[in-house]
Amino acid sequence: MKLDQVLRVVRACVGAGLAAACVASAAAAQTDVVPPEPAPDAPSCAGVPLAASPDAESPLVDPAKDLRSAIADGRGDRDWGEWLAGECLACHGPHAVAGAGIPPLAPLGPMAFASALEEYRRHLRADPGMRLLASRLAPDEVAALAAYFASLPPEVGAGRGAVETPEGARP
Amino acid sequence: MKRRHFIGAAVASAAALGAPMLRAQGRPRVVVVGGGAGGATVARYLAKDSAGALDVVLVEPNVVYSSCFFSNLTLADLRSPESLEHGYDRLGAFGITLVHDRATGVDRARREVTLGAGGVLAYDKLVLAPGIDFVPGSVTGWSEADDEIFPHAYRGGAQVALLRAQLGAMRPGGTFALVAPPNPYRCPPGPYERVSMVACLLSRINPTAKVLVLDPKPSFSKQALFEDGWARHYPGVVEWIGPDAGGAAVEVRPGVGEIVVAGAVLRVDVANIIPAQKAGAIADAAGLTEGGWVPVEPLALATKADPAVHVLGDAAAQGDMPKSGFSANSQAKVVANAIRAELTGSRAFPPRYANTCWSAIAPGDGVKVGATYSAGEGKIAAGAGFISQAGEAAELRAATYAESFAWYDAISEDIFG
Ligand SMILES: Cc1cc2nc3c(=O)[nH]c(=O)nc-3n(C[C@H](O)[C@H](O)[C@H](O)COP(=O)(O)OP(=O)(O)OC[C@H]3O[C@@H](n4cnc5c(N)ncnc54)[C@H](O)[C@@H]3O)c2cc1C
Repeated sequence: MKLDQVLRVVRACVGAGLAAACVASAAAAQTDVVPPEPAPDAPSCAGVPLAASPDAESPLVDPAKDLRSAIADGRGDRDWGEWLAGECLACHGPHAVAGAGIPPLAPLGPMAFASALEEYRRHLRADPGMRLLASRLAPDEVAALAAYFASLPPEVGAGRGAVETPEGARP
Repeated sequence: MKRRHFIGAAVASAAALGAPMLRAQGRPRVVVVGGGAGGATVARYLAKDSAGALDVVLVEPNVVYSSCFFSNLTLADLRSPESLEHGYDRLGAFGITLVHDRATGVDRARREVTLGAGGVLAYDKLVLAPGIDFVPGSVTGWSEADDEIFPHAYRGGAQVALLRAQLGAMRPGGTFALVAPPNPYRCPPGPYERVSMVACLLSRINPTAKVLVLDPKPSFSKQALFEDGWARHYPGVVEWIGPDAGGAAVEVRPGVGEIVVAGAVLRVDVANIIPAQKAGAIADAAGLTEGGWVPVEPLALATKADPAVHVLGDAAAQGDMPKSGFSANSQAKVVANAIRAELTGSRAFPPRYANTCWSAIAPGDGVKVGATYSAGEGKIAAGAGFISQAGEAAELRAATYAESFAWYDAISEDIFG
């Protein structure tokens, strides 16, 4: 199952309060999630609802002008970006496409990537961990990261997981 | 994640690695002792980034690593034990030489590691990431010889499976007791996530059972979040006894299934003893410990005693970072970059560290705590941080829970390839 399908299933069953059904469908995609046996007398420990990251729904904001032009001109320091990316990969995975639950970042283009970080920095996206990491990154570090992710071979990102693009996202 | 075994070719014997020979060929050698969260990450990043310029040797006795992270979830059947097992074959594919043996000593003057099967490994740089050992005598009446009766279940694998089996076989309405460790120890929220997962299991299979926590600490990690969660999900089940009420001075009697608390003898059906901890024994054998842990520099975790030896992960006394798999992985990337720069002249980047610890309180109710860290004066110093809040929306808790599952997959691949 593709990531977007998983998310759709998960949203539908969380919305409908059908935790057990949700587990079964989500487990098909995330093979090592073990569906627990149903236990009618202990509802809270009987199901494993999974939910999508709320940050998938955020608006897009432009990064600062200097950063935009650094990215557009390809001035980011790729090797520095590779080093900095170590911090991203601990959660997003070595191929920068984590499973349902953490949004993938490899398929984002460099500008969308920088926009997302800007949105975390300005607290327009919710995740407290990403707000923290984004606010620690200086503009040249964001440009370096964008250059590194842009340099990854296309098969690493796009083919491996669907991108959750916010409403009105630019390509 | 399936059980994987080594490809024979990638596994070298100690004799074939005879020191002078390989070093004479000119490739600097880094020996990494311990293939857990810290050591496997260091080895992978060193090998991957140096593209053959370094000879990376990983010494680890086990062929399968069973992670402690997420092991509590197996107690409530929310994860299978097999899903926490990782082999080393993909590390072999990065050009790392795997030696399946235990390091028994370090001769720092000669820069050699002694192996259990005999033989020595010479190094230009040594990284020790041996995790933890237990402090003998720290819980009155208990020693590691008793761990088949009262398991610690704090190094993953068989001990966790044993605890799960004991819980499954507990008499209806029985008592489970957890003896919590004093600071500092591996995974600050770990014992309390365990309490949550045990209560979760018991609420399903043994709803009249009781959970007792005996704690030498007056307060603990994410306390408000756990206490709120226990009250909501497992009302009346969990009783926490801190040092004021006798939690600090317990005596356990594995032979007869009793724990003495403040003079009162309690009958317990299942007991989980998590003793005081110290760096894995090889750190002591290398003469690097002070008060049980290894003091290290904050820039690249070189030991204060010997710049040719780096120690990271749980074994290190590095400052403010909690002892977690996330921290060990974060530290490992800094160490790999610094060692590679020193030995090959590659670019050295300023260190940065981060940690997030997720905990499951109930299925679909996850919380997290995290912070950034930097190299400060003589220690790794905490920067800004965040923590989940009591009273958060159920959707947010469900998202945090789902996030932890994605994190597990991501970091496992980042560690083991
Ligand atoms: C119940 C529990 C829950 C946890 N949950 C989380 C969590 O959710 N998130 C998180 O980030 N962390 C969690 N942790 C903490 C995490 O497991 C540890 O912090 C992490 O494993 C530390 O990594 P390490 O490399 O220092 O040690 P380890 O991962 O323990 O690795 C040490 C390795 O060294 C090997 N070794 C030891 N001595 C020698 C020797 N002499 N020669 C050769 N090899 C040797 C061992 O076999 C082992 O493979 C949890 C821990 C527990 C107990």
